[in-house]
Amino acid sequence: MRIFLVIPGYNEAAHIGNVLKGALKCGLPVVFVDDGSSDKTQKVVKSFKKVVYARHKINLGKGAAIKTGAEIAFKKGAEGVIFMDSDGQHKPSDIGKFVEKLGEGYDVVLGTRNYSSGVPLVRYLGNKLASILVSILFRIYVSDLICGFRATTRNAFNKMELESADYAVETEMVIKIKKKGLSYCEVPVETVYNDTAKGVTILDAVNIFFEVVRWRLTR
Amino acid sequence: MIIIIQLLFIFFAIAMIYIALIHFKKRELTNTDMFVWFLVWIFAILLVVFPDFLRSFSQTFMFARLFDLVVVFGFVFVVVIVSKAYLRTRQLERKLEKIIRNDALDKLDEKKDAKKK
Repeated sequence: MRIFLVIPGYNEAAHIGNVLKGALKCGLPVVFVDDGSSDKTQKVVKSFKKVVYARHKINLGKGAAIKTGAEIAFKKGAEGVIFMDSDGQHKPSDIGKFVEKLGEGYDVVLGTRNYSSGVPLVRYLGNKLASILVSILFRIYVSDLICGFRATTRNAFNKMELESADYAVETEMVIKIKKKGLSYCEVPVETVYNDTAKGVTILDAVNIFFEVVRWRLTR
Repeated sequence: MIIIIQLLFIFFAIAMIYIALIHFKKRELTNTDMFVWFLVWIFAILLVVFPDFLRSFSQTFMFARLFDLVVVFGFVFVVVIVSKAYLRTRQLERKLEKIIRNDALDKLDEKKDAKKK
């Protein structure tokens, strides 16, 4: 199976260099989607000749960047994609686990962060509450609902028809797994928190909550 | 006291008509939009000047006080406007997302073509 690594990023000049170095070592083709960065992200990424670089003119959100990245990868012949965050919180050494599980025939492989390795308590509790809420409303329990480290096959991605342009995309993906009857599994991944100010904020969490309720009502 | 409140509301409604007119002159509102907003505020002024007109309605809909009727209908009006604004915003978000994403994909194809040449 031909697998591409898709990395969405916004103002990640500080970390993206190391992330791409690690990602390229895995030997997979890499697509980076710059979601309208205003810092030196573009310059840093363009110094990596092997990385396919695409840019949104303005910041749309993680969901939109993921969709653009996946579309580029599929156009280039990918049969599966692995999504990875650009802030360096995921370790490239875990990529092999996703490749292995996609090879075993799973439609979607979800990374599950190891909470003993520095995930803030508030995030941990918020994530667990969200998982319980989704399991009640949609009858699918995923232990880490919003982990950005995940993989999907081309067919599964197309079936999911993701709508979200923001951080709700990961939750939507889980809900669509259930709705579309896709096979999935979870793999544990290591997490390093470089920047706690970034990522899903309380406001994003509130927005995700309302989206979840909307999806339940508009099924 | 009531006359002062009525005058204040009339002043407010005239100001709102003026604001609509400014947007109309800037071509941000169509003829129909301007006409609708003009009617809405003129109707509101008439209701404030002749509140007894609504009294028969409040009795028909079993409202004890005229004020309750105005509050309920005002609330319904606001809900309709907010829903419409919400739907329009979502539509615009989707269109914007499509344009920006297509632009990113097109630029990538242009780069590929340029390399081939």
